[in-house]
Amino acid sequence: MNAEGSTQLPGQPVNLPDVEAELTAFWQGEAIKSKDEAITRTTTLNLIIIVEDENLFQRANQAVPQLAFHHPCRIILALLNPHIKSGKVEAALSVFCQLSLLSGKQICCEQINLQVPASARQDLAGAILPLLLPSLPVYLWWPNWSYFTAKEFPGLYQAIDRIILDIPATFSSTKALAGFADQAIRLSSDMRVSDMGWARITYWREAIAQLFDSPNNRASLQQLRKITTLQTKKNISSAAFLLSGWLVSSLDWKLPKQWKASNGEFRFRSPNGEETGWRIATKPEKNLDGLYAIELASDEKDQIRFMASLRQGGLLEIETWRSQTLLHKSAHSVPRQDDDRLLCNELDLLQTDEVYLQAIKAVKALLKGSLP
Amino acid sequence: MSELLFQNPLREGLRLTRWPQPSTIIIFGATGDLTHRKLVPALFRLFVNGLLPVNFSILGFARREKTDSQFRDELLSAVQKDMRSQSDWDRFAASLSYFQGDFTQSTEYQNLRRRLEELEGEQGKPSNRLFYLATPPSQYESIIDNLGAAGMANSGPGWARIIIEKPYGRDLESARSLNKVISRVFREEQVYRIDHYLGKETVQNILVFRFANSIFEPIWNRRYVEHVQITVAETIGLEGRGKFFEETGTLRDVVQNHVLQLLTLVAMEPPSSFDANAVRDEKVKVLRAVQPITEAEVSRYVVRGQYAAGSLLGEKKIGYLQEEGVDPNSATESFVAVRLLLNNWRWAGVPFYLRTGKKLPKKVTEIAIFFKSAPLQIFGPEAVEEAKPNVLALSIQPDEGISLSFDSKVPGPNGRIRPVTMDFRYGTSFGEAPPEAYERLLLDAMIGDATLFTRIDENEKAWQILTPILQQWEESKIRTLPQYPVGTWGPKEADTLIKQEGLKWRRL
Repeated sequence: MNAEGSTQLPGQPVNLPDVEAELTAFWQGEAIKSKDEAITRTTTLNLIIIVEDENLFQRANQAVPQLAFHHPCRIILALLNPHIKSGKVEAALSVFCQLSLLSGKQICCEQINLQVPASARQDLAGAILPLLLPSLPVYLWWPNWSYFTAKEFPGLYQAIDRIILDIPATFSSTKALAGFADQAIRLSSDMRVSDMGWARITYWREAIAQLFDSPNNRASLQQLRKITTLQTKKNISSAAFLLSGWLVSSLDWKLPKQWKASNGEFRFRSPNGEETGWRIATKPEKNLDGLYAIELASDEKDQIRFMASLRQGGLLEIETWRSQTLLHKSAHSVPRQDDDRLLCNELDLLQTDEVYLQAIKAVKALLKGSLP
Repeated sequence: MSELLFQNPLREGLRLTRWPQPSTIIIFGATGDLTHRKLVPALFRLFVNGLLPVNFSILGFARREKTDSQFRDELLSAVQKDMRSQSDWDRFAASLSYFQGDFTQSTEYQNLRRRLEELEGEQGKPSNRLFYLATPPSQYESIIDNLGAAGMANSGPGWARIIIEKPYGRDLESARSLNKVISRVFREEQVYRIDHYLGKETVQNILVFRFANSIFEPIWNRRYVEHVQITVAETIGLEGRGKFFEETGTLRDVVQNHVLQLLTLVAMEPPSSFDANAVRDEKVKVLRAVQPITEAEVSRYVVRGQYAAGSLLGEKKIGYLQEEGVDPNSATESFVAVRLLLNNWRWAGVPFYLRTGKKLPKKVTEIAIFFKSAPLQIFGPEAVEEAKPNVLALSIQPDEGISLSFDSKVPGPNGRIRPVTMDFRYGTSFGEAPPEAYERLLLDAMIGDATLFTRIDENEKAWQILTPILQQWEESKIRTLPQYPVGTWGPKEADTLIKQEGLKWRRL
């Protein structure tokens, strides 16, 4: 950050109204260089990234090469800089191409960086909308704590096809988590919603779902009565809430009309009217942090239990037990989980993720009973 | 599509929506080249990408004596390039085991059955079994009969499926006879005839391109299309398969399966759904619509040739007749060009030119749709000469993509026209490498999705189209085939074939 509180934008500085002309000139120059062949570029989407602090700006800027390699697109990276009190929107351009080993062709991406003074927050739509490529989906990556609302970003809000949120790993209060759930639900009525936090627990969902692929185990789904999540610290883990919200909604467990959570335990009714529950247990585990195990169990005499547990070395172990006998055990590699990669995967999707919405709605319903 | 998916509520909404059940893959011919080069690497990649089910196992069946551990050690080199960590291999290797036996001995199959039951019992999984015949076709009958006699074609509460590698027969009669053998033991829905071409992403993309976009369908017919060219060109020769190829030839080896499959995909009507039988019904209709080439027409509409000594990419190469394992008087073709017509409303009168061969200048597979010229050329006599008809080229390999050529004005006052090409390259839109064909097909067979496999009627119909050609060649007793030097686009007779209609082969 320089002395005036402004961040040095990467790329060639350009006046905002000249962005399109500069890009056209660039591609014309490339066409002349390539002589006989017409230059054509494939562009699959518009990606807007709006960040509210410089660290997030640097993180987003570092993610761009990988994003662009998988998704040739136009990226508009906007920093809402609270340190600049007044002034105009600054812009800088960069175009970069990477050679695809798959095709031997260049995959190109246009990146437009914007710096928006605090006072010009309301002007963001006017800066971004003219830069969007027509007829292509518009994604917004919103990695901020604050809310994205139609009131604060008029015009821009309506242009978004899909918003990618990023649920924090932990929350200081259930109220804050409920607020996040609320925002996701509210946004879903106007656009499609993804959540990087949901993407991060995909491997848990895969592993748990896999336990019930075998017809024998699938029959046990009806008998499940208890979910227990184990975490290393006593905190509000978004992964534990999302997984439980997912299981509760998938198994169609319902909350009683009047209820209150006690001692980290939530009570439900199964579709057959049986009492069921989810318990959060805290137990430190060496070299692990956060959620590290989930157990699903029936409560009949001949109890069946399904366990998925993280182990050191990036393995996820899954086990099936009947009474005290281990019926099956296997281990799976936990897939590489860097955020750039996850974000690339999110950009593959355009449809509504109904399962996420059901899960986050279940989380919100759960929290209602636990809020003071 | 897997019924299972819809029965497990926890699968809903997961990115990987297609998931196989716990199963055992039994590879007959487990010490062979196909197992090492294709099958095990494909299964390993599926494993490291987390696409194989819990409790899957692979049982290699072959004649040679070896232990499980020797079998695993031998396969290690096959997966080395995909290994991310030793633990990946250790866990994959734990699923591999070996069964030594003679395919022709029925008693071995009782032992095989017991071994499978042990494996399944140890892992508490259902008896879902996928038999993969990676053996010479001469072994198929005996393996299938023995599986049937041992009661393994129906594995009780689980499923049993069988994957058969091409060639499925060498003519209509032998194909029917093989199909009879198969159907004595397996129901058609258990049979997966594999043509790895259909596992290629870009081949599947033909269907997406045609049926997920609405702008191409209105012009995809005789009113707008002048002709279609399908090219499957290889630069390689026999690669030590001289003996096999002498008995096969290009018509049987490539046209009967790969080329006719491409023809069906480009010419088929939209299926009512992407269900295996709906897609295959439409493909069969295309084959049924092919106007038979009578024996008398073979010399007019079919060209065959053999490569002669020449040079490719600066290296001198010997001719076909000098190859190891080839009869010096051989009349086996290494090149074929065929003109076909389809007798249906969509394609009546539109010629389909198919060509395929070995030792051609480039490895390329492409379908090119040549559209009719504009009905009136208003840009003067020069433009008439310079303007070219639009060509839509679907490139399958090696550079997967789609290109459209159209005429454009050359800047300046001269009013000149020049064709330009607009290229879409698969790799520039999707940086991810697509899965290998065998990965996709093995996964589909485990899931029970037969869309990309050849059905019995497709197989027999394809042979029926080619039988008059094979018979005419057999009866003609011609011992000397037209020659083409290595590194050229086939014999001059192929140019003559297409020139009959005032056309020429696309320069690739």
